[in-house]
Amino acid sequence: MRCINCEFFNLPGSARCARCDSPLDLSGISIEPPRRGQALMPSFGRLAVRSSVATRSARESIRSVLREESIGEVDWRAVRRSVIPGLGQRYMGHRKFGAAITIAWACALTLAILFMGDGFGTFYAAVTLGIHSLALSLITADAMRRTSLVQRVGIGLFSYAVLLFGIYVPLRWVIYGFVHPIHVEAVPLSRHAPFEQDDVLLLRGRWMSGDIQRGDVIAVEIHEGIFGPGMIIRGGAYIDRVLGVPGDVVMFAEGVLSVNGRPLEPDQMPLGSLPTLNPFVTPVPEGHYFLLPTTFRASGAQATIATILSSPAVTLPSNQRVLGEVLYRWRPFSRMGPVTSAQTPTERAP
Amino acid sequence: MSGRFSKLEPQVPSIVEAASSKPENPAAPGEPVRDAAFYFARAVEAMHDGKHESALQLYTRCLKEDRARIPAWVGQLQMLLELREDLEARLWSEKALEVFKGNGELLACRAQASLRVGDPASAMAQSDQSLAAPGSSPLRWIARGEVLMPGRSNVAAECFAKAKAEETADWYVPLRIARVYLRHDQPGPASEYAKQATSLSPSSAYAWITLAECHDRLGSRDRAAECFRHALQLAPQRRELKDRIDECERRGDSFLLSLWRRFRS
Repeated sequence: MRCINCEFFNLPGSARCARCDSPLDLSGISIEPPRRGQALMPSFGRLAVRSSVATRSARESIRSVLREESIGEVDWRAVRRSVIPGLGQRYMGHRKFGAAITIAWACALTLAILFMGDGFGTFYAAVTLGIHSLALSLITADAMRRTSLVQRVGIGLFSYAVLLFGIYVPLRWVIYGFVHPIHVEAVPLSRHAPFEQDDVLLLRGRWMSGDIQRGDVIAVEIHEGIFGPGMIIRGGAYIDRVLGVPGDVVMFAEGVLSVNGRPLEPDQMPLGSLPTLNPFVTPVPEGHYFLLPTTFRASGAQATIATILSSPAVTLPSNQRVLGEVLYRWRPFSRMGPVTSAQTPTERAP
Repeated sequence: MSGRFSKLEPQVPSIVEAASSKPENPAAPGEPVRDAAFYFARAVEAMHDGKHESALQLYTRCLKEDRARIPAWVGQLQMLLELREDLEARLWSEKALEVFKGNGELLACRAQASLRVGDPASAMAQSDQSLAAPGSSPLRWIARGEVLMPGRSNVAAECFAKAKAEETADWYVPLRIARVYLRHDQPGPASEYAKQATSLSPSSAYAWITLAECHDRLGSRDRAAECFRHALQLAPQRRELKDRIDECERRGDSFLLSLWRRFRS
């Protein structure tokens, strides 16, 4: 019997070809192809085939990407140089294009730093990351030409995620551990508070709180709430000078503010102008600092010390609520500069 | 007549029944013998006319006469692919390959089906096996080109050129390439191959219909209507072409779509 597939002459009576294992008797073979509308294959069977095809396809795609077909052709030296976007392109001979990418990335990074802490900062950070990701993708583009669009998109997203979680997020975490940018919101029902609507850079409070001295300008976290009649404070940060550290006794009598019996020097006074206050004596407990938030006003009347002192969250913040020591003000750009403990009340906004 | 033949479309029975009537009786004097070769020739005719459903039935009828006729199996698979029954084509190609192990044409069909069901890695492997199998044919190179098309269009074009250069290549090869490009939503290159097909076989209505579809997808609906009209002249019995012409005339040329399609192509 001759095999129809390989034309091998088999022994009479054989069911299958000895060479290629094809069936020799085709009479029992179905010749009706399966059709879409026919229930030749149950729906769950079709689903199983589709899912197995999809799984195998995905597995093969990952394998091919990770193996020889694409990654093997990537110029890893150029990829390593792409820690700074554009250097990889310069290495590959595209000097002008590489320089353009580096400049664009540097500009976006500068803007992201300048607007750090608000929506624009986030936007420019995303642009920075996008330029970096694009630069990296372009280096691998030639090698990826063999791969399908889905694979290329997947690799692009993967490189984006690697950059985001491998470089930018850890970098931000480390930087924010030392310095922390905040935007000081306006405080409703108050006079203009120091640094209100400004962007300032803080030395990280939790790490530096042990070093806070009397006269330092610090930022305190305040929660939204009502602190006495007419004193509604929106959540955010309040910035003022530390008047008393743990163990001090702060006293106000006859219009003079003194600590431990000694009147405060002008460069140790609160940043706001002192309102008319009733006399008071306040010891500063352990783990707290004393601030005199002079800018709050009561509705319809002058603030009393009782009103102010009824909000210890503001006047006596604990260590945990200190966000940090105010280091630098960079916005508005007209008043950009370091914030020193000798900051005078005259610098306040009207 | 089996149950599946009773569910054919209105225009289909005329072809299939005419071909398969009195199958058991010996041919009358002057009539052709209704054997496997007869049905195969009719199937190829139907395929060249673009009547894929009829061609599929005739290939099946041919296999009923002669199960060892591999081109009929290949024809079945090609028709399933043309009818966009890709999963069925893949299953059927596996079935056929169980019988005809390592057949190059069947492997090529399986590669096409695998690619179309979203398994490019398997498609590439099957195309490799197809080319490694003994013999050569335009279909193997067309399948190779289709498998390479998603990522390496220039290499795909070379494969298609090889398909056209094969000894057994005829006017249907460029048309088949055009259909492949159309299937992958690339009407630009498809129109080039369709033009070649129309120049090689100007009397083929199917080639003109394919060219019209290319123009339609490119947004040049005036040209599409013109090609449909030409096809209607060649095949006046295909009344559905009138609807296509009316639709093209009603929608008119779309400049933006045309520009976008040409840009993509």
